[in-house]
Amino acid sequence: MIGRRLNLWTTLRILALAALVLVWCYPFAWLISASLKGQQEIFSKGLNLIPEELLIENYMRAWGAAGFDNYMLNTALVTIGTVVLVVFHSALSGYVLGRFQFIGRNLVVGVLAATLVVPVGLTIIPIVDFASALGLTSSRLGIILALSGSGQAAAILLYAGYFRGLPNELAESAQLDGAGFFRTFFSVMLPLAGPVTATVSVLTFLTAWNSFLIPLVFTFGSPELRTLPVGMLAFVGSNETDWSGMAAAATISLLPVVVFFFFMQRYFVEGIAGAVKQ
Amino acid sequence: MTAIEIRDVSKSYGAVQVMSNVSMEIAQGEFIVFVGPSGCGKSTLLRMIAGLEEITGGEIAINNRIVNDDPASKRGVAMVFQSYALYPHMTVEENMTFSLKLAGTKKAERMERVNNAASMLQLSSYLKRRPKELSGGQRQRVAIGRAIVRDAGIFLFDEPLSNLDAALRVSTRVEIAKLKHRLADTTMIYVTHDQTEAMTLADRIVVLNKGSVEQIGTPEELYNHPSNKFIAGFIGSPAMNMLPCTFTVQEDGITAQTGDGANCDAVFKQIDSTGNLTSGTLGVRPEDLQVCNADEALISGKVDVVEYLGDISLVHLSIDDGSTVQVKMVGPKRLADGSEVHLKAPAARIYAFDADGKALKNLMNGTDNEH
Ligand SMILES: Nc1ncnc2c1ncn2[C@@H]1O[C@H](COP(=O)(O)OP(=O)(O)OP(=O)(O)O)[C@@H](O)[C@H]1O
Ligand SMILES: [Mg+2]
Repeated sequence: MIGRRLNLWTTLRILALAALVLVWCYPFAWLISASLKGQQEIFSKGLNLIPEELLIENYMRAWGAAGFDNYMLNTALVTIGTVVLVVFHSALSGYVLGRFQFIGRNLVVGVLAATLVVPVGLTIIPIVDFASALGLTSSRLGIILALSGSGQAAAILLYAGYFRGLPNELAESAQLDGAGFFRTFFSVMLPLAGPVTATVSVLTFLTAWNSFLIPLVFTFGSPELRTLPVGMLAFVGSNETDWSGMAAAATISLLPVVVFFFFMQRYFVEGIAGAVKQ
Repeated sequence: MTAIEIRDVSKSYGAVQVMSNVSMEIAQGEFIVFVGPSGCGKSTLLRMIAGLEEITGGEIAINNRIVNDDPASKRGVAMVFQSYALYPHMTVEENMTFSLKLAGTKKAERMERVNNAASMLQLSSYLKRRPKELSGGQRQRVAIGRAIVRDAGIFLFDEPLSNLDAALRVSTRVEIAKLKHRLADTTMIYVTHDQTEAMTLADRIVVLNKGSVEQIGTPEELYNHPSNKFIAGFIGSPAMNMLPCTFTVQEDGITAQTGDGANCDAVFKQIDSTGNLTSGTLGVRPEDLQVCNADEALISGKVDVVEYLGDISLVHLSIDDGSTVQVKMVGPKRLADGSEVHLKAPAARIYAFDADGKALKNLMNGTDNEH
């Protein structure tokens, strides 16, 4: 006999999981289907997923006319910049917090942990105020700095915990080999923190890619710098909303995230589980 | 030529002093072993020499230059850690060349040095592997290779073999002994708590106890002329048997009587103190005891256990006062548990210590030298 016999329990479990998968995936399927439907069809068809005909022009409209080609570029630049900056500064902060004893260390850790519970909305006004004082609104760099400058406590603590767990002898060995602080960090410590870097990259990528409030506020005066989530607003007109165009735009925005996660998920899971052995 | 000079070095962590007034001179090319019970400060002293631990008192000079404030990388020392401390994400070759790269050594020379070290350590076919793809013994050799490649004048080893299994420990010990001959100019300091490693590898052994030096000497000196009871009990395996005794000071020397009333043939002399000497300890090594008749016995006891080890048997006796004595006997000994055994030792092989544990000079021991 080929395969395993399915007993009742297993069958039930598979059914339950299949139902869950359906519930999870249905909205995405609906979104993609809506992006290929006509304006009226979206509402008339209700939950039916099959479009009458594939209206590719929704995508043309979103990509070309609505400026999503430009928004995609902006989002990609902002996201990459944010990920690099966040990995750099949170790894470095985590390294110092995790491996060095200094006065006030626990205070810093405490304050960092406290910021975990501060909602983003609360800090937006000081951030914008600060950025405009520095003349950084209406620039991609400003968005990157605003996105990566605050709210990285989780990443820092993740790195700190990981670096604390690395054996002291490694750092000492590097020291004897003639490596200074930064050399030890970049050549020995950071490469070993690969799984954490993957986790932090994925989380930061997702947040940066989907961030709305900061890019919105920072691009009030310069529509050409908008990111995908902000650009989505353009489909909401004062009289009518281009639902199918918006669905197409949303699908376009999702695609890179899905691809990125597909390649990173293995490391991501490893980093979350912290299951790293030498 | 003096390679390392340690002058009155002490170490405290906050208010806790863990090392006090340690002094020694180490000549270039010497192989020095630090031994001592766990927590006595072996690693701490080694790490102070390496520059990994701050020196809180005294001075350490390397090649006549005081290095107290020099960073580890400037001291010209290489260190082999107990945990190997290889960089897990680098290949064997990268591990070995990391320091050279940082020092700006040319690629051709790096390769030459790595290849030399690798062939010396039989690592040539593993150069492209990562540490996790190596066995424990191979990792250990990479760690040693890393030190060799650096061409440092001083090698420091902190219990390098303690993570290896017994057989590998022996063969790696032999490798290190060979290395010592091949790198005759390199000064090596080796921390261990393994007697055999200390005795076989060392030119001189430094015995540390509770943060200070008990005695420094060649393995022979420490074995034959321990300066105090601690050294006597620490060097030699199984440990020297210790018997409480009373001393009688006479015109021509000091004689001793064990608690049982047995007389000891040896005659002793106090080395440099002339204090009041009444009681103390007699020491006899398990390998120096022989079975004899009751009337000439130094020790009498009942057999507890006989451990048969092949070439010898280790006999454990319990003495009337509740202490135990160990005896090495050649070949398989069939001694019934509980049977009475009488033992004596050559007068020259008996040690005596005063109440403070300080050794007395055995006047019967002709080869004795002063120290
Ligand atoms: N960071 C520290 N803070 C306080 N005390 C310390 C510290 N490091 C070591 N000690 C103390 O210093 C003493 C010497 O430690 P050390 O590691 O040198 O011992 P050791 O001889 O190497 O022992 P072992 O054979 O177990 O490795 C110990 O009593 C230890 O408790
Ligand atoms: Mg130690």
